[in-house]
Amino acid sequence: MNKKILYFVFVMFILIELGEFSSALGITPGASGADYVAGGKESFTFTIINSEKTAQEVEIDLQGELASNMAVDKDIIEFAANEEEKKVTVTLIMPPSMPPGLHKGQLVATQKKSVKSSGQATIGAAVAVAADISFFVPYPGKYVEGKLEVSGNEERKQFRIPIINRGKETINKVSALIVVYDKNQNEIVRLNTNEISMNPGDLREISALWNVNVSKGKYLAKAVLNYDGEEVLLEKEFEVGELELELLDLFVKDFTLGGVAKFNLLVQNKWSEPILDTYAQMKVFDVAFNELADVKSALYNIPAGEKTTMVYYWDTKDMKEGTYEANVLLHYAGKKTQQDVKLQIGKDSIEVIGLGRVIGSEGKGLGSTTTILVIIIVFLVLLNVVWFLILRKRK
Amino acid sequence: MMEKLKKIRAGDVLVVGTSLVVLLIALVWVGYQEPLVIAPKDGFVSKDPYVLFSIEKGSVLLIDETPSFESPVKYEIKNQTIIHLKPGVYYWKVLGVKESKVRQLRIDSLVDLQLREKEENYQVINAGNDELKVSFKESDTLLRTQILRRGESANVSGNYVKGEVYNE
Repeated sequence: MNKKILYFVFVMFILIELGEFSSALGITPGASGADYVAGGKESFTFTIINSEKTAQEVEIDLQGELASNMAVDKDIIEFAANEEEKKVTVTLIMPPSMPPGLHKGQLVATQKKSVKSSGQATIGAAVAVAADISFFVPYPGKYVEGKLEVSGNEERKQFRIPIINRGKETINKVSALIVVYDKNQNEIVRLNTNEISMNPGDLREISALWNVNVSKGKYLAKAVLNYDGEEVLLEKEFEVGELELELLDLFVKDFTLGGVAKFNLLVQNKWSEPILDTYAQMKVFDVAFNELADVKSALYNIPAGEKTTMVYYWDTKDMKEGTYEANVLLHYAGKKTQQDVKLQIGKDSIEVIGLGRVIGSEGKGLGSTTTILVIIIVFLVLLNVVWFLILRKRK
Repeated sequence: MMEKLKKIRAGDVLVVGTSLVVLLIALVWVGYQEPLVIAPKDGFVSKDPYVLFSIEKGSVLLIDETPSFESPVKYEIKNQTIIHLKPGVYYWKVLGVKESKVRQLRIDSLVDLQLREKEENYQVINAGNDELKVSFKESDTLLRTQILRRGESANVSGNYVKGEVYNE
């Protein structure tokens, strides 16, 4: 008997030691919402994802403030091996009265027990994923929520204020006065945004542009948001001449599958001083998010304002043609920026996709039908005027 | 005199007629120049953050979080471009000689946690498409929380790991 127990313990030990334990659970969407209707009923459908396609049991639970107002159509989901996803529907009965503001509940899916393809039950931490279910009860009267955001470069900054009308009434006029201060609290500039009107529940933006004429450094923007006489103060600290490395391009030339791929990463130092000891890192994943590669470049010093091509190599031995997920990370000055891309690997090429080239973040657009038609009509009117007033008189 | 009048009238007809023909051609030409949007279709919903934009007769793609395009991001586009978008609702249109209609798309957030054994430890990986707040618990006692970006991993502590979308 003792021998049997010892053997069992030994087998478990080996399985635990050698087994490449892996489990996964997903849920989408990660958040859903509805407009509040007193006593209203709303249904939300979520997809539980078994991305590793292992046989497993998943427990479905409702949590949070709205848990008692929600019902779910399944308490347990059983995935057979090779089953990838299953749907769950949550029904929310909105209470007849609720205080104004955001109210939230959660649908939580938790692994109960997973079984590997060999039939071996796995051990370790239970994985749970949660999706938020929420609604917003409007405030009586007029009420808005806004956030001040600053974007742009050393020459031009854009101050944007996305606003949501969280009140029950229409707001006729929303605008803001933005004041920029330096680090010594000296006022630098005053800017007025455009003015808009908003219906209840509307999400809109107001903005102002600033042609920067100050030295590099930290600044503070204070916006007084005015909506039909009510005021809200918003603040945002920002930098002129940001310490930033911008990823401009990523490409591979002269590649053969199975060989070593040379990645050229074009970056620009947007800061006024050199950025030292920076390096690039790329992680490549398969469909199941298994890490296939983790490669790094050498250290680079990038002069102020200049573009540099950082190079790193990836040995594609054992790789197959296909599309792979990848994260490109830039490490510099204690900061880390990440760009998610896809690598489309062919026999003799690697195409990097997902790096859409941004050419601007401001302005309303280019030409329009109206402009073109106006030009044509003006031209024809002038032609006719010339004919009737000048040429006809001569005859 | 009558001959002169006839010539003038003929001239009037020629000028007005030519103007009308030119105007008609211009209207037809402008109508033909509307960007042709092949993908994504209006109301597109996906959990894949990589979106293929396929267009013809357009050169600039505008994407914004509001339908009024108050501060759009502009992309240069040549027939096909794949753009990485964070989860959310977006409005987009294409500019060429004319503007396309405004279309909407939605990227649903995907909360996906993967647990892996690595060097005698367990690691949890954010395999979803959004930034996650990950909580580590031991028998209902919260040990710590950590924010994980897409593709980032963390060592597991405790016997329960929960991931949810991180809202700043």
